[in-house]
Amino acid sequence: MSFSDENRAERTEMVPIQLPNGAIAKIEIARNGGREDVAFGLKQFEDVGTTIEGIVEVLSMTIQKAAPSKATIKFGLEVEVEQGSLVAAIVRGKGKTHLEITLEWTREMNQKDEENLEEEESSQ
Amino acid sequence: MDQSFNQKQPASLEELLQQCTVKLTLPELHQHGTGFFVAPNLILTCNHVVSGSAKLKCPEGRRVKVRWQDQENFVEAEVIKSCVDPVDLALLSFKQVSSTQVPYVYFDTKIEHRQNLYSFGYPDKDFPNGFPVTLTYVGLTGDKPPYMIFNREQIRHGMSGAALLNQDTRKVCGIVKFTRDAGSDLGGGGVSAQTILSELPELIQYQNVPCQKDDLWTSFLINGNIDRNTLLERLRSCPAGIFRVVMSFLRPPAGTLSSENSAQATRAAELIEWAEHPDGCGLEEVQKAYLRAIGKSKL
Repeated sequence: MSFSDENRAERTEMVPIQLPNGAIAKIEIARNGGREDVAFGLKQFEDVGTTIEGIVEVLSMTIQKAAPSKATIKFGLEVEVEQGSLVAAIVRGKGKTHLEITLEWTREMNQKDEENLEEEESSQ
Repeated sequence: MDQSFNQKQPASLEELLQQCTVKLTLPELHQHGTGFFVAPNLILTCNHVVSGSAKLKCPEGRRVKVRWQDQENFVEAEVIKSCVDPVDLALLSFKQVSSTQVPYVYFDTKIEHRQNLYSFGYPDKDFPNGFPVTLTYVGLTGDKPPYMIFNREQIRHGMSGAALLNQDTRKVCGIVKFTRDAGSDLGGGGVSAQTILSELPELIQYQNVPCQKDDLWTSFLINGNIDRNTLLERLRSCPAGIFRVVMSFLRPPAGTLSSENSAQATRAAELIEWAEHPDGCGLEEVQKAYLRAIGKSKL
């Protein structure tokens, strides 16, 4: 018996979820154990959507400060149940879940830069 | 309500507990859990079964579909009282039909380390018609009020609200609330009978044994180790000196029994009634005290 999350074998389970339009779907979630009230109810997938919105909002604010020409964000989420609700987690070291950000800057040339470039090319 | 239902005569107290158990469903929330009869027209369950969250108080008047035995639409009950976490209890009322008498449970607050608990509930999968579990009581948490902790069995979703029958005292000592891991046999926790009767004192009036029609529960107590009627008869007819010794061993609270001038038969009946009350000492203690007083090992 252990209170720790460590050493717990990774288990998954298919659970029914309710989408905002009322449709029922199933999702595979991680079962990491832990205390949980045991009424049976459909989990609301909106909770996961809210988490994704929050992650995107925080990352986009940070990226906007850096002002790149192009930004690519890739992230994978693991969904689990906590306190009866679906919770999305970015978990390190499992391969399937990650956060990867690529930023690119392209220097925009003004007229003077273009003239200098032409001069360099003609002198060669 | 289907009045033609023929209740099967239970062969054991565990089977009777199953007959006291119901499945509670809220179709609009796609949610279900377990509950049990605690009076002729009352069902006890956890608040989170009917509200969706232990922290969210269930609106009074919420309608809940009740399945009893194989009657999928036995009755529709109404939430009349609910307590949020950490108590997490809800009381539901339903209209009785005179031809259908439901059995209900008796509580006992006494519970000791390592005693076996039996429970019956409606898990989320594999056993849509109910599933029994046998658990071992570990102890109380440090919370206020404390939760009962039990292990050695898997507590799955849907089991919330199931009664916990103490197989030693042969009465209900709590209600299932949470799992420690729904995917393994780590067990879980529940709300104790002490908390239930303290938060819902209106239930105590139904605990004065025997008060049920065709009281099956009491018949199982009698058929257990202690013959209630025999014990009562011995206390009524024993010499006054022996009765006084029994009283000195048990020391019931002042005011529990009539004055010493009253008839011994009356006082003996009052003693038994107190012993069977959830706050009483239990019939076993009365029997022990009587045997000690007469210097014998059995009745």
